Amino acid sequence: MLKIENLKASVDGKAILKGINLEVRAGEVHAIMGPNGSGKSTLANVLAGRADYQVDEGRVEFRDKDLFEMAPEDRAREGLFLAFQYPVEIPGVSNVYFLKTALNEKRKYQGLEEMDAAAFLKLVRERMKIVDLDKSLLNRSVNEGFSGGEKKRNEIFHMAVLEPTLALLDETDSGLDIDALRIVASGVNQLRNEKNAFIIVTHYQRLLEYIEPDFVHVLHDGRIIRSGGKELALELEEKGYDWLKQGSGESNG
Amino acid sequence: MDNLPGLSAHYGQILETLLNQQDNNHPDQSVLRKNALQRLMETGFPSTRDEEWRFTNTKILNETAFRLADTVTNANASQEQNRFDNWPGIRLVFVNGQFMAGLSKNMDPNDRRLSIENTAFIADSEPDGFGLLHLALQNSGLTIRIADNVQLSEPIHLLFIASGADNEMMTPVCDINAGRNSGLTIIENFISSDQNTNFTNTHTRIRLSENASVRHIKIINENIRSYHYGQLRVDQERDSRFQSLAFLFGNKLNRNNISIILNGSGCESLMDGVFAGHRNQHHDVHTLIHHASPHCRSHELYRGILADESSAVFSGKIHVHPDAQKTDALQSNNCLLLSDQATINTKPQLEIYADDVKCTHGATVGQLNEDQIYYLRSRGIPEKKARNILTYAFAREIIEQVETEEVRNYIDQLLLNRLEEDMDFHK
Repeated sequence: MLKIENLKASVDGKAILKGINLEVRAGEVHAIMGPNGSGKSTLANVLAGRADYQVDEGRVEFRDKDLFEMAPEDRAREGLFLAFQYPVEIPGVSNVYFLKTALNEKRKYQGLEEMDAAAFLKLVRERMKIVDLDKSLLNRSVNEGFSGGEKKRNEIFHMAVLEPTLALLDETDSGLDIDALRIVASGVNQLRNEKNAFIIVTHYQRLLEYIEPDFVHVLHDGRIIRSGGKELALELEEKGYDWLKQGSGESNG
Repeated sequence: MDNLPGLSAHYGQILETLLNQQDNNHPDQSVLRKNALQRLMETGFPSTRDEEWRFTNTKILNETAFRLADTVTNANASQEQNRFDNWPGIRLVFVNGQFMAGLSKNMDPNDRRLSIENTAFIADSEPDGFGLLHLALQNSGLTIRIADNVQLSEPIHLLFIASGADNEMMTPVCDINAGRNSGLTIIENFISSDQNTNFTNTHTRIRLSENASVRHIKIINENIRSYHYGQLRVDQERDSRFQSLAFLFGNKLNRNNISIILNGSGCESLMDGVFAGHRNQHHDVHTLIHHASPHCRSHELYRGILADESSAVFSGKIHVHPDAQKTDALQSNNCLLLSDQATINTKPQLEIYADDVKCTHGATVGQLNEDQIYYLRSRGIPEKKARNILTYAFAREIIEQVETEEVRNYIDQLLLNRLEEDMDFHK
């Protein structure tokens, strides 16, 4: 589904990603962990198409297409979804209008008919339950005045409506209390199936107690220095990142 | 006007006609008209040397000898009004500045709640050149009186259709009087029936008696070759509430002056508006609010959307008189520049002569937020649509204040047409 080969990227001329290799297949959940500044968010945003990130080398194939040939909106309509670390507030645009527009743009792209208001509302009601979203947040402006937890839940709600093939969760767990974390994790678990895949970028091992990953990758200084199963996350929690940094030379999985 | 002999001769001819006319019914008006024209010939139209006109070039209006349009309706004009058939309430139609009772709708002479007479004549005390021109040449306009204690639930729609030949001018006038404890919404809607270069020079006065409540909505969608000079003068007695909503889309050049006087305590006055410019349009909004009494509140928010090589001026003056203690005045102007060639000159002015007041003002000028655009795009919304959604949202806060759904949808559509976008924001 996603194949990243030797990806190098920079911001303002500063190299951040220094050769990433990663393959994600349908049905898999990958966790990417790493200390601050290791390039986790850069990776997520380079894949989603943020303009101020410069791709210097390498290629990424998404569903057999060259990802970097596509505009951000086309990547989304092909099935990529980024849950933002800091969801953006959009005053004056209602959450429900935004979502309906996004869904119908995706459907148009796929050659499907636009969804009418009644069918859309039915879908929305159903998907709101997945993250226990307060009904009042539907008609409010996107993220405006939402609490931190509401913003993150809203991201997962968007994901639930748009049903991406590949979802990138950029530190969705950061800043969440344990109840909100459980709701977000349970949302992801309900959406998980054999046809889609998740890349979960996180700073904390905590999230992985609720979402069980198939693979864990440790990012350090723009490279994946270790890959393993879910037990790698536990080991990291015990020993800290320094343990891996020391041995990064020989242990690239 | 000495440096423009052609134009001077043009107005000289009009003056001569006026001098030869005997208006025995209104001898006072006759004198005022002649004096105004004489003064205009001495002082001329304002130019960019005048502080209040620094950023609005009126050269074209100075150089064009606009003739008064005749009032014969053409077929286009009568057709145009069908577009508004779904609007509720009374519709009063003006063609080329002249009230046309035959084209109007839902007028009931036996309605005791209000009276409508074709008698209005307004003479401001300190008019500028365009005001003088209007004073001299104004049509016989409408005087509307709402009786005490009457609440009109449906709006009164004044539809002004500019339908003149090239270089013709129309000079409508309206005098609206709201009785004690009365309430009404008045819509002034300006359109063109074709693509000719017309000049609308219009004057409206609204007087609110004690505890009256008036909402005034002005919509301009005259064609992009036309000119518009509009004066709105509002006098408020104690405890009255006034709201002005302005939606400015049309014209090659327009200037809208709003002047409000708060004569009694406990008044509230709201002034909000949207101006949207594209191509080489120029919008000029000048507002002035006199806080002449204590315990009054005023609130003003104008948003501008400027694309291509369009330009705009916003000047908002708040004058707090010495005894207007406990004044609460807020003013804000935000402008969105959608191209590098678009320009805005924004000038808030506070003149405060009382010491126990709360007055704030602010102005922002900026572009669309790139983070918001990225967020929308990353959910699958194409870039152009993302930009249009954000631009629309910027104006939405003001459009939403229009309570009558049919009117709000019309304004929505004007903005969406401008953005060349098809959106169903309210569903």
